[in-house]
Amino acid sequence: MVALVMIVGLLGLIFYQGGATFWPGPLVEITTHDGRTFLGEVTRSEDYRLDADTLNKLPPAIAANARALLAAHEGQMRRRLLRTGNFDLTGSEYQWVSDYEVVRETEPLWAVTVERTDWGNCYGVVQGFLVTNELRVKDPARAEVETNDPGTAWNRFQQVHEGVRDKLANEHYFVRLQTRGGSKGDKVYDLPVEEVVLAYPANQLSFGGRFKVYLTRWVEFLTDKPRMANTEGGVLPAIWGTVAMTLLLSLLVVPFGVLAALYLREYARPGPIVSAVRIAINNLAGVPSIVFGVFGLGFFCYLLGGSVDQVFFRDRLPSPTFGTGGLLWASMTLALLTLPVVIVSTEEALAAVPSSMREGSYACGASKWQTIWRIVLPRALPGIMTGMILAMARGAGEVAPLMLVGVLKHAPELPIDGVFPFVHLQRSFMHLGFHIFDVGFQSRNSEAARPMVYTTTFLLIVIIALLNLMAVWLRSRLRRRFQVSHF
Amino acid sequence: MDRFSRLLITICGLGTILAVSTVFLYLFWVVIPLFWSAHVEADTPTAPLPRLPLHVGIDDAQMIGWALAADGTLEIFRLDTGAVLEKKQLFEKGAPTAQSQAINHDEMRDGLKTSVKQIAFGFADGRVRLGKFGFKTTFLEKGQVPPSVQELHVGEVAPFRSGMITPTSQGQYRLEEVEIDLPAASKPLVSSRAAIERIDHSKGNVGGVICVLSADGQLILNTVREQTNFATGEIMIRPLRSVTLPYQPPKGLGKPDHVLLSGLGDQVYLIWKNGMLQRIDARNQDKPQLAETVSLTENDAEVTALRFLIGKTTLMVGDSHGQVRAWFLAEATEALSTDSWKFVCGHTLQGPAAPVTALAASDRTRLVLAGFANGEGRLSAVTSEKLLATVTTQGGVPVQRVLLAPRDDAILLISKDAIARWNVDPRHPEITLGALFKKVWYEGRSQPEYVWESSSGDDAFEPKYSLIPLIFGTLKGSFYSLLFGVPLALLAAIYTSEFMHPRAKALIKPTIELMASLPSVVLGFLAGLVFAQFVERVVPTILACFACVPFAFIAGAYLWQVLPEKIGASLARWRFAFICLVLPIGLGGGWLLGPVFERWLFNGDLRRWLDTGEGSGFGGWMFLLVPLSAILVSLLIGTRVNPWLRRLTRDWPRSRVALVDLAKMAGGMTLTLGLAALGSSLLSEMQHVVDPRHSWYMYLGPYTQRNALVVGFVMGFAIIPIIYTISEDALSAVPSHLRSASLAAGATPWQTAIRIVIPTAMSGLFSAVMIGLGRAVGETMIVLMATGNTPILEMNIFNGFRTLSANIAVELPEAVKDSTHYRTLYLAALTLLLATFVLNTIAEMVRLRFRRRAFQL
Repeated sequence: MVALVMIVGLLGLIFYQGGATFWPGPLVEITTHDGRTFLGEVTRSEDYRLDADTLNKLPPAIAANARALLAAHEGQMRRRLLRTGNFDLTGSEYQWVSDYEVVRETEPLWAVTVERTDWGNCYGVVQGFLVTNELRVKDPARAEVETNDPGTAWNRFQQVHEGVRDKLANEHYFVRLQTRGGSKGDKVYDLPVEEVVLAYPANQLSFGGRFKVYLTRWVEFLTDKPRMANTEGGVLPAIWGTVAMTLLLSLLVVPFGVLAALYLREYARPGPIVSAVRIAINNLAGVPSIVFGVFGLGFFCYLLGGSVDQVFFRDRLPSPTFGTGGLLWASMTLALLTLPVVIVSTEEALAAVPSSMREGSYACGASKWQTIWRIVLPRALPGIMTGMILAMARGAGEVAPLMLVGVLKHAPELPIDGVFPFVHLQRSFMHLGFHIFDVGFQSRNSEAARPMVYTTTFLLIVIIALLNLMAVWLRSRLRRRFQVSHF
Repeated sequence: MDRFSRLLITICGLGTILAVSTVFLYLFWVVIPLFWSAHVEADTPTAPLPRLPLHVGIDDAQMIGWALAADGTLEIFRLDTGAVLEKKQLFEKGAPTAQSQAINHDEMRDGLKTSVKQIAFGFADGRVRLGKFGFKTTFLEKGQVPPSVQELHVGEVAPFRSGMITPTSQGQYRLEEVEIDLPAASKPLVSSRAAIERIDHSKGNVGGVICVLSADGQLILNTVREQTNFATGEIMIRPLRSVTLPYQPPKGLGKPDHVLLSGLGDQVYLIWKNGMLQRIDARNQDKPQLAETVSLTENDAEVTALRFLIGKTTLMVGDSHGQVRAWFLAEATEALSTDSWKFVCGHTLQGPAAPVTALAASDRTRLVLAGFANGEGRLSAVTSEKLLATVTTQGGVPVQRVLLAPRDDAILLISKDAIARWNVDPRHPEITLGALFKKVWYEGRSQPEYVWESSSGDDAFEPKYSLIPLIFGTLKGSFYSLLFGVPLALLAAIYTSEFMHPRAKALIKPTIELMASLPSVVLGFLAGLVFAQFVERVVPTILACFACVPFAFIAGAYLWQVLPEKIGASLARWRFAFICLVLPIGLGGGWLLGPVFERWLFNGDLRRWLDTGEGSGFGGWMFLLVPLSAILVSLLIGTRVNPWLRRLTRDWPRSRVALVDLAKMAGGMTLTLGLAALGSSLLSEMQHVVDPRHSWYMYLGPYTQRNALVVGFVMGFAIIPIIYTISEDALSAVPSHLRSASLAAGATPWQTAIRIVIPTAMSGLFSAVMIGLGRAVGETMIVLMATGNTPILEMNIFNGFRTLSANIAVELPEAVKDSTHYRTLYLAALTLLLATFVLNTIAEMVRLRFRRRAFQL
């Protein structure tokens, strides 16, 4: 019961957070009682207990307000976490604002959210549009101000933005933004248009407009490379790496697993050897995944890979080609890990093929191999597919062994690309699961990275759930087929 | 085709065995060299040195060496033949009256870090000189060397210029020359200009520290700095400050035979031949004091050799009985000395029954080479007390001096007959079974401990490889997750297999199994970033929920019985919905009671109560005793009260019996709480003896955000599916005729489940728990992300731990292939593998036995 509630709650949390990350929220401008002004997106809010010391130090009017709020909220004070962005200007990315501090709260019409190539998000209110021939506006007096009207400026920005990233122009465009820095003071910031990845006036969007932005951000997430030490941008290399590794893994594990299952079901006679094989499989299933990683690192990467380097890539030594973690070794390690899954489900599928069909085939004079190839295997195919998909799901979700045998936090080269020989088995790669670990736990600012982690988690779970559902569907098909053919 | 396919399939089938055994064997293969002793290979002995040196040094490539005799004569010799290349007297104005121990000094030369040996010399007029003895390595091109050198093959050496030359495999020529740097003498460091009789020096914190004992009995500690005279370009030692130390030789003893300085120059050791040591604490230079007197030897043995290990913290003492002991300063647990430190003997290296004649320490590691009067030389690792190699001079000629090559790759025994050389590979000196699994006394620690500390930036750092903290962490994590996961999974399995409607079961079972496919990295992320923060805010509530949720379920069950029969029967189909309702009620109760708990039991603020240890341990004991007394009370009721009640209420109507049951439950609860409170107050009265927060083996203590509670939750979550699936299968495999018979005999479904089904399926449930344990032991990502990963030995549920698996994941990517660290991590993996192998095999055997029995029934 509790378990059920837990899993539902957990999935709900991930889906909600992962799904909501890219939804563009409104921008609020908050002025606090001590004169600081913040502009940003509310990421979450929580209740906390305001301690008496802080309360006593407040100016009387504010304190009274705070007491009233406390009374209304049963002694709890609400505070909101604003994502204020502008890390390059203020040195901070987030700001907590308690309700009692707020003196004025507005949603400025021309506040825009800007995703930039560097320094994370930028928030500001559009003030004008500038053109200069410099890369940065150093001297505002020399820049030509095209307009000081926010609406016109925004239109100009949209005209220019499309082409500007590919164009090598002498003219550089800037959007003039009024930014809010809290205690660091407010600044007028001239945002170079070529740094903009995506920008939208968050408070003017209709529902449809928001949805469009939402989709755009998803597309960016799925098709772009990561920026800002993986905390921004997309996860395309990670998806690519996961997919390539999973495919290679299934290519390796399925033939071996199916043949081993055939041996157990069709060829072997019960005896010590078969029980040894079963013990082996059982233990393979129970061995912690990290141990496979350790084995993979030593045996595949260093021993096998080292030998391959010695024989084929002598000229590149001492820098290793195959003698270090890479796609091939990672796949082989995970193939070993997922072998029991394939064997067990193939065995089930083989057992489900009625022996009457085998006997019929033998009666018609077919040899053992012909029977297996023509009669047994086709019937067992859905079961084998199930096993393969389950193995892929398991493999896609494993991270611990991959950390040792070839996953990197940032691998600029994709394992599969257009350069000959197209599939680069020796290359390190990125992986969604490791991406979660890396971004969530090793990054500079884990708060800023959290939306990214949620979304990646969401993506990973969706992929694995899809694979699992496919397996379930295949299994039910297998059952139906089995019922039909059972005469 | 048929034959071929049969062959192929058989190969693949057997391939699985091969794969498993390869995993095993490969791990073994990597681990085994850890326990090997050093590899030793004898080289041909060379001619002896003409005179007995005090100090000897050889270069990295083992081509050339220098030897410095007591009278200041320096001889440069080639190592392959022992022939002297050059001989000179270093000090024209008279031989030094005292020489210090050599210390290693790293210098930057041409952008390369080179190590030189620094020796302090004291003279008859009270002056001091510091000499640096090192080697200069030059790589020459082919054109720069004469034809005779060009004819050399790789591995051959020849004298060239003032040194030795050898061709390298890259076609260059490597020239090694002795380089000596001897700045001018200082002003006299002794006020009376008396002769210096003992001297030692250290690098200290600023410039250097020199301690001298003069002929007129002054013991003076000088802080000095090297200064370049701009006019002459000479380097000179300038004393900055000198302190006269309290020095009083014990009665009946003359001057100390050795004066030694610790690495920072803040401890002075005076040592007499009979083993007496006086330690003078000079950390406060205004008030140096005699800190303690200890005896370094036992059974009237005499001190025959002394040598500091790298860092000058551990002093190796060789005696006339052939024992070598390692002494170092440790924080004193009880006051034995005037400061809070004491000089202790941490390790004893056994030797032959012959006096130790010479000691040499490695420049890089904690290896020590001892020479004995019977001609033996023993290479040992100090901390692990592992004897790496024993070599003997030809004919057992007494060893006079010993030397370890700079790279620890050769040992030299110098006797009056020859210089004998052995090439060694110490392999993994730090590792013995004792070092891995027993307490080890590391330098500077107050007592032997289990420590895992594999790396640090410091050169003198000693890696500590005790697997115990990691194994402990693994067990701690598994324990807490089983504590949470097993009851849930087993109860869920019992409920679904015995009470649930088959249609609901068909829905629930796959859902729980779907949990298994949730990647552990996702769980770990949620645990570390979401759960940990959430739990931190609501700890008291969670503690309250532990009490409230089970209570709500039990109370709900008893209340259900109170319902009139008719209503109960008509509501039966909604029972599941009611059960679902109980959970939020329990959680809500926890939410309400949490702050109350905090106020009553934990002094108003749980975090403070834990962190500072203020208030009494009452709440902590309640935490432990409530479940215990609940078990006790339920046993009591089951054996004493129930039979009596049953007799009494045999003829009563159902509703009244239900009421009596309800009263029984209420009474039981009260009794439980009362018992627990009584026990807790008794125990907390004795809080000076035991407080649940203060000892490592207790389950409470300072709170950290990522802790065992969070891991217990989330890892419990991860192992629930597997335990659930296997135990559900086991329960379903109990033949239904047993159930039917029990029900037919009038037992309720509950009685049937408890008395018939569960005992029959017991072994199946056991194997489920075993496999769950195996899973928990090996889980990596969750513990990696949800604990602080600190290798500590504390049961405290509110702090973190480091497991074997997480440790591998963190450290293996950085470990150098085939290093000790690398192999030790493989040993950790092997430990995990063996543990899970044992667990799985036990589980499998139990399961098979259960299956056979279930079929027989």
